[in-house]
Amino acid sequence: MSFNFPLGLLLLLAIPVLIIIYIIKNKYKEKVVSSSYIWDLSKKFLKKKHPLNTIANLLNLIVQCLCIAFLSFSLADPVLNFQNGAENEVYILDASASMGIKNENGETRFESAKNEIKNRVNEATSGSTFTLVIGDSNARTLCKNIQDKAIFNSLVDRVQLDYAESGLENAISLAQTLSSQNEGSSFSLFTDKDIKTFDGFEAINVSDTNKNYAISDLRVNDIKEEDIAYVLLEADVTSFNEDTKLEVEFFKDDVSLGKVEEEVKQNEFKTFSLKIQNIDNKFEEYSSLKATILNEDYLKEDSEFIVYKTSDFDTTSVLIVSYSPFYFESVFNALNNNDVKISYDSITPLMYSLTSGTVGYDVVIFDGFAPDRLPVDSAVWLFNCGESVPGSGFYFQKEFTVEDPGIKASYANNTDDLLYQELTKDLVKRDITIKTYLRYTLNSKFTTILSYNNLPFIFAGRNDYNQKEIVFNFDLHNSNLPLLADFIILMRNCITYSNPSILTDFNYMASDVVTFTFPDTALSCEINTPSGNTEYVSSLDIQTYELKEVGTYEISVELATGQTRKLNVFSAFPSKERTPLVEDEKSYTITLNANAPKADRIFEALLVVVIIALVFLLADWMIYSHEQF
Amino acid sequence: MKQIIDERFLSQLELFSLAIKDNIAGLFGGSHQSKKYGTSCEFADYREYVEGDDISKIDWNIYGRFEELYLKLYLDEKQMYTKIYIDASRSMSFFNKDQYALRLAASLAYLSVSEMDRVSIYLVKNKSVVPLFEKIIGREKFYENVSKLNDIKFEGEASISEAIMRSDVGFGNGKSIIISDFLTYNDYFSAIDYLRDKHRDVLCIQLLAPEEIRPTARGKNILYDSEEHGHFFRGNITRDVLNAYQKALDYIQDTLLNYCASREADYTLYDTSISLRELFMDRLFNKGVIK
Repeated sequence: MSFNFPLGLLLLLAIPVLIIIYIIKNKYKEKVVSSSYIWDLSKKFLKKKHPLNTIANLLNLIVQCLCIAFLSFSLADPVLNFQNGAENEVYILDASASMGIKNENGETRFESAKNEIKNRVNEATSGSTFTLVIGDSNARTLCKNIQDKAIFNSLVDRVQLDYAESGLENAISLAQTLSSQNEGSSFSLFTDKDIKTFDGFEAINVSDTNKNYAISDLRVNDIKEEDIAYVLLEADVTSFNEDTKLEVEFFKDDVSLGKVEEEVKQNEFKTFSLKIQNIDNKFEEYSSLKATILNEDYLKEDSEFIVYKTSDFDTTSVLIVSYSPFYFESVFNALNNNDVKISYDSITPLMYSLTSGTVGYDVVIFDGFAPDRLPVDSAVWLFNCGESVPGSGFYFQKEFTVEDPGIKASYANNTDDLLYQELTKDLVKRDITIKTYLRYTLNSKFTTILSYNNLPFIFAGRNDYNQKEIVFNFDLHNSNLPLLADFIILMRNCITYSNPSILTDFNYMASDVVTFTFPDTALSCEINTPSGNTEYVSSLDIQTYELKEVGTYEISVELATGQTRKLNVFSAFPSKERTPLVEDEKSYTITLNANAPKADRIFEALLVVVIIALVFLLADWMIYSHEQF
Repeated sequence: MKQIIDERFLSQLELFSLAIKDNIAGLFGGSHQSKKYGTSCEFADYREYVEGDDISKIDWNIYGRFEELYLKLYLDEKQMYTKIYIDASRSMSFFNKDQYALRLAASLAYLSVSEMDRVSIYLVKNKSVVPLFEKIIGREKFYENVSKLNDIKFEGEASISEAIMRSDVGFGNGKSIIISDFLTYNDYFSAIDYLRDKHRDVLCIQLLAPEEIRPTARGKNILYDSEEHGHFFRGNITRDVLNAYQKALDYIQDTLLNYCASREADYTLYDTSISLRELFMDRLFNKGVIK
């Protein structure tokens, strides 16, 4: 037995005090009555008391002492422990996407599982401990050996459904670890998977059979029939519980294109096709295509599939500050013809010096000119800067001119460097002949792309203003680079690096991680989730975002140029979670430790002790009343 | 004196008179039957005529029938002498018993003077009887003297027997009324015997307060006697003790009642929780003490 408030036992000191009071108090009240004659006479009529009755005289004192003792115990809040009388319960909760399917009672399987866990907790023997293992994509032990039922239930309430594939196997492994560490004596799994083979734990299936249909993919294909261009929309559709007729409606930019009705067999994917004439290739100008199953479905999340077009901006604006921008203009014109849209302006260094600064360009190229200050909102390319530029991250040392045929600078061997990979993507990487070059001292932040005798010739990275910066230490006119095929590709790579697409892929599956590439001009990023929440990417240095929900994410990136880039990303329901899979192929086992200690059963004796104290109090009053009245 | 006398109640009392068991002996005519033949209207007996008898008392009807001279005798009516003894000990001062005793004594005295009887009120103090007023006749005298009741101090002890037996109680000429709580270690039975021996009609009125009949004291107590120094009760007053108390009280009442009955005396309990009217109209009337 233990006490929650042992100080309450100090009340026991009242017992000796009570006894002392009994001893020292003046027991007899003195009083003058008209006559003591009857009182004297009454002694003759008083029944003779049994010797045992002398104890009865002390009955009051005994009862009062017991009453104080039990009041003291009740203040101390006693707790009785019965060894091994309770279980160390481990609950494994499947929090995968399929648990979001609604049961016939209107609540999701996940809610049913949580309610079942809470019911078990509430009915569990006092003293039991509870451990919750979450079986979602990131299987983890949420809490361990919690004894307080209310706290545990509140933790269960806080568990959110993960729109990802089940991590049941990992969760079972975690449970096995708990068993091995003697931290669990009873294991229960709450899932919608129909697990056929399990051992060492109880598997509770919280699903009931419901209508569930899904679209797994939506494709767009161009076809030509009799010289007429068509677009063929194809959606893969299935029914998980029955053979049935399903109706699918197709949308382009939320405008209905038509409905298709087909018979679908259980667990077999059927392609629903809609053919639309593509007049003047206008169909290509869509921003989203959508297919939706119109039949009633208990899991709406997988009944819709959206495809977004993969473009978030049109043109990269470039300012060329050069006395001879010929090569740049030529290469940008060439790139424009290859779907890399670039708009450029050319000004002389003198003109640039006269302006107070440039705003609104994605890239500024300084060719043979070292500006006093760098533009604040653009990526910067520096070609053949014969002076040090403040904040550029490098210092000019000396100019070198070599005799014919010049030196051959070669591409560095930084294959592990992502920036190097990006800038040298698709390059043939032929050596470049250079006749005149500048020697720079640079800080370590830069990645060397091209070098000669460990002297960097082309390097890239971020300058002191955290701008993207690409530096060439030679004049294009004094090299053969513009004559090489690599030149166009290198310029394309530089443009892509300096003004990247924020996203390259627009269709994901829930729990996928999206990787953003924010341009230097990006100021903020706002993400609207399918559930209506708005989240902000607090730092643009963070370039990944996990899609936790199913549906369309709307992403807005505000640029310093005043533009806002808006793009949509569709997060599809995980394909494996569309139906409660029959996991009969797998065998789940938890080897229970025979010596695993059980929890001590706790009996909160407060109420009982209070009742006993009250009984003694009542008994004291009854004895007193019996004697006196 | 208004505290003691309720004049309206007294006027109601005029309808009653004190009953007396024995015929009265006395010098003065009154309203109570005497042992002697006299001039009342109530026929008593016949006797033969002897010379010197008043011939107007001869029953001539009998002479006509039997030719014998017989006198028709009637009972004589004498005046009764009522003596009221009030226990003036200290115990009577508890629970206002003294006030009840005085009202009772005044009422009984008024009842007597209303019948043109003589009334004396005595206080029993220690071992003597102290007259408050004696031999008053008539209401006028009653009202003159009744105010003396206010002067009584209830204190000390009262030995009823010794006090009464030392006093002149008279002989066969009336009623002696003892008003006391009879809660005393002293003897009072001898007084009854003595009064009866003197052919006095005796009425004992035991006056007890509700607190004495149903005591409220509880717990451990030392109860000192208000009169008798050295007498006290020490004990835990529990339900058992109270039951024993009740039995003791019943014993005292039964003893007094039986003793009075055996001596042809009257006894009645006056519980001060009942009204004086109730005492007279119900208890005393039903017992035949008043008629």
